[in-house]
Amino acid sequence: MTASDVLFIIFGVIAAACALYGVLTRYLLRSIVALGAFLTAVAGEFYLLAADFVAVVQIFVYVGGIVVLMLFALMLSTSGERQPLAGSDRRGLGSLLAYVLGGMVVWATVGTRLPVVPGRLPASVPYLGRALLGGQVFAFEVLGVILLAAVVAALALVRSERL
Amino acid sequence: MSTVLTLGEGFGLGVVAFTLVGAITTVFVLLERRVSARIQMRVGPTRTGPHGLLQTIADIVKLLVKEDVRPEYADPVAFRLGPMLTAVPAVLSFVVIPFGAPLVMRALNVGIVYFLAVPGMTVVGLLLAGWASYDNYSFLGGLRSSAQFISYEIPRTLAVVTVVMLAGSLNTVDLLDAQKPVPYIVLLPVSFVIYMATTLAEVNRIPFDIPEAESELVAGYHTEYSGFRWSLFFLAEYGALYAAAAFATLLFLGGGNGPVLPAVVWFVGKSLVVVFVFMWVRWTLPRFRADQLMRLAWKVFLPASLVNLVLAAFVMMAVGS
Amino acid sequence: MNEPYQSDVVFLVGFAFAVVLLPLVALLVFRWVRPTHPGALKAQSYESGMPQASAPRRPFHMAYYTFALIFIVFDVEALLLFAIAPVLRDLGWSALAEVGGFVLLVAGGLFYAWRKGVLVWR
Repeated sequence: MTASDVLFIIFGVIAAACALYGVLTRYLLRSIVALGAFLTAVAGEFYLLAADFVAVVQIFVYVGGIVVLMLFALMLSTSGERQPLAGSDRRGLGSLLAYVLGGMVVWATVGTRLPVVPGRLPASVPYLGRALLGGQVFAFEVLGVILLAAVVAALALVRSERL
Repeated sequence: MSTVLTLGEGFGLGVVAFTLVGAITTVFVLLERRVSARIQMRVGPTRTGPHGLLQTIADIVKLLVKEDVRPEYADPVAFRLGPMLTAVPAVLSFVVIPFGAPLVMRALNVGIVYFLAVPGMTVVGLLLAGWASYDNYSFLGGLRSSAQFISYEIPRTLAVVTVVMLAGSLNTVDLLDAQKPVPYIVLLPVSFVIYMATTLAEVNRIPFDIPEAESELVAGYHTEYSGFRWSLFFLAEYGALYAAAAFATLLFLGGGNGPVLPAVVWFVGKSLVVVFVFMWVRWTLPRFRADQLMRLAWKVFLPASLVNLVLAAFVMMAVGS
Repeated sequence: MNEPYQSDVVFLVGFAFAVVLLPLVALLVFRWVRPTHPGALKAQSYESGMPQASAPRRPFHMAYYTFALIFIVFDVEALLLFAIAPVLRDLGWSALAEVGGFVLLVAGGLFYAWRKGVLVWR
């Protein structure tokens, strides 16, 4: 087991711990912060997997954007004080489903033989850039369309609240 | 084994960086007071030590031993995390800055994006600090500060993209070589202007300092903080200021390039000039209203940076071939 | 195979550790030096010397949220541009056209938001 693997496991444990805390805590604010910590740990794992650009993007968009968005949402709605864990009448069914789904995910992850990329990995940024403008250019443009759609949709959602 | 060495190297440089930022804050606070004084035709602190040089040291000692007042209702976790989350990213951004060609802590291959991404975490800190203080004014300050930060982040990023287009790399060290004949301020003047202006907004300096405006919100998101925690915010601010100035030097002024003198000297010199310009602007211009500020970001700077990007790309292609 | 990336991460971990540790140490060490006299008056929030006029944490404007939403979209776009920027020079005019198309879509989003009057504060 190389040092890289050790690091990966450490980051994984941190990520899992943050995620667990985020789900179990009663304070919404701490939940969001835990999410931020989780995303940072995942960014670390991306970097370890030679996806350095993705790692930095993760920080930029997720931690610097999505977490901020969530904090705004929280702070604009006066909650954040102690929230009781979501009470539901169907707790038995819920936990059963959770176990089943979780079990499936674990089984699928552990059981899959993922291919190992041989040799040196190409430097991620030029590789990504060339792919986006070359073979994957369709995907690139579609991304543009999706983002435009996202703006329209987001505004539609937000503005309807004004009524 | 080499892993442990790298870890130690990282740790050591972390200590160095933190101390450096501390020193920078010390010097800049005094510098700011002297510069502002001159511009306002007065003298500024001159009593403590020769020429007032020990003034900030005295301030620091005072801050360290000051009582750590915490308002009653403040959420303890958020209250403590806030200042840390603003200060830590500011220092972290120093990792990729080359102080003269070989003198960089770590030349990350994605250094430029790293530099822009890490301060994004500062926003989370701002929000936590404002919220945790359980006070309308702090809260409002934190919100405004965050909104301002994210609004100006895009034009700033786009301006940097133009530089990356010309340089062909996201590695900060490559930027030094790329500007060997001509610094980018000549090739990309609009990008430079956009960068400088948006950076002022990112660091909350006048004319964009509504979130801290003394006459408006008392002290904004850090109203309720005292002593060392409060100083962490200032560390963050001045650290980020210098980091941004250093980045500007790197992106547009050719970093450590220059004849005769060693690269470090050139770099520090140029970056200090940029800092001086920032301070000069601060004490000369009045501040923007919150709505003017936001309008500027989205209706002026963002379209401008988009147009600039396309034009720069076009020209680059046309000339390059 | 992953050495340079791995060592970068190790470095950053060490660095971050130091940066987080130092202020904590400073706070801890000086804890004994600092006076601790909590008082009811000190614990109140500061409002220029008056008792708090309004209960904090009232709901605030939607504008903040709207801007944050739009910000995320443009953020992603900016980053995609960052991915292609370093290689643009080498890839010729066709690539430029592709980027142009993308930027046009981005600008379209901005234009739409502008026309909808969303980009106004308050």
